[in-house]
Amino acid sequence: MVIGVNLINLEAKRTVEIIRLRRRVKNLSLLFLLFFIFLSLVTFGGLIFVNSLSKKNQNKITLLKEQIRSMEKMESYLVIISDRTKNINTFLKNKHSYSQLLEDLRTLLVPGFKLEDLQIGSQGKLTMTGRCQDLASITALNEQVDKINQKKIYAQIAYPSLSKSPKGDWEVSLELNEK
Amino acid sequence: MNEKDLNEILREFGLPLAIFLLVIAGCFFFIIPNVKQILVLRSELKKQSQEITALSAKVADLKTLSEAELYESANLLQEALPAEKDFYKVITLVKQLCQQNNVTLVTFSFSPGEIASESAKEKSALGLSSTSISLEFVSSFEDFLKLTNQVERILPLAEVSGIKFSLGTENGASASGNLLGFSGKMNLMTYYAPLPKVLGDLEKPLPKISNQDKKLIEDLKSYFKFQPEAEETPEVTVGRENPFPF
Repeated sequence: MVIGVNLINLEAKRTVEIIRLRRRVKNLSLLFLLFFIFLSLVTFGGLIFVNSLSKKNQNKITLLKEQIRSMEKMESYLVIISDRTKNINTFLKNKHSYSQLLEDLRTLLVPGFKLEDLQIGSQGKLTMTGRCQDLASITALNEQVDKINQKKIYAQIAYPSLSKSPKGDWEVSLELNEK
Repeated sequence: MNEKDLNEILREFGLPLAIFLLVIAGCFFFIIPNVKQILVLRSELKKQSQEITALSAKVADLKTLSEAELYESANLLQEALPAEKDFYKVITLVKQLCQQNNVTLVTFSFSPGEIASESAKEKSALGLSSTSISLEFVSSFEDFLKLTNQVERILPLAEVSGIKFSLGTENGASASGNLLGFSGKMNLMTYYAPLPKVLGDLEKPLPKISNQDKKLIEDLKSYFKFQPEAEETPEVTVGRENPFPF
């Protein structure tokens, strides 16, 4: 019987395989450990590098903020200028000027016309009443009204009333509405 | 498997197993937290570099400006639109203008906070508070015209909200139509607005002043400003006539 010889070979083979496996596992674990050490060093180094960069940047930011703080008066002036100009521009945009209306009123004061009452409202509405001595003065007044009308700066120019008094003069009321 | 075999296996594979467990634990407790921290710091770095760019630009902008000019402009604009109502300034200025234009100021009255006109209502909606001043005067038409033109160009900014002339034969129009003297009433609206609560923020960029704003500031320089009334100091004789002036 030769069965015993095969058994010895198998055991030797198994021992060799175990030795190989043991070596492989050992190598692999060593490699694994080295890789871990490498990775640890890389992450740790990276962390230190990023941390130092962040600290450097933070210092730079602090320095810049200090510089700005030293000029904070200028910044506050700028904020005031910006706020006031915005408000003033709004004011001027909505402001109603009476200069033109008063200039036109001056041209209406023709010889022979006696102004009795005058009101200028907030929306640029001028209402005036007066007396014209004669037909010549009322014609002169009407010519001036025509001239003003040609400028096309008024939305409406109207005579709400025009009547001849028993004295012979003319009672006139006139309305000018700015656009 | 007997105890001897188990001991054998542990002796052979114990170290690799320990290394394996150590590496796994190291990954969980050292590498992953560090990587996370690196990622956090990286996003922080990104933010920091953006902040540095913005702050550097702000510093560069501020360095190009002149503090004296800014102070002058801010003062001028605050004179044009004060933060608080100032009756004294307005009335002194109007009084000075009346004197300059031979307009006799009869009476004046204030209506603080009253929104008298449509225009004032519009401005109130825009955040401007108003004060109404009513002036009664006696003047010639020409002088009144000059006054009105000047009142439209005063600091603090004012707006004429209404004019009423009371004309009589005794002080009204002449026969030629020229107004020699008349009495009238003029309503003025002056405005004020509180200053912004925060005058500058480190993190915020500088407000820009446009060319239109610069033009406005230049224009406002030509407006009539409040001049404090000079106090009359009594003349003190010094010399032989009065050896003890104090």
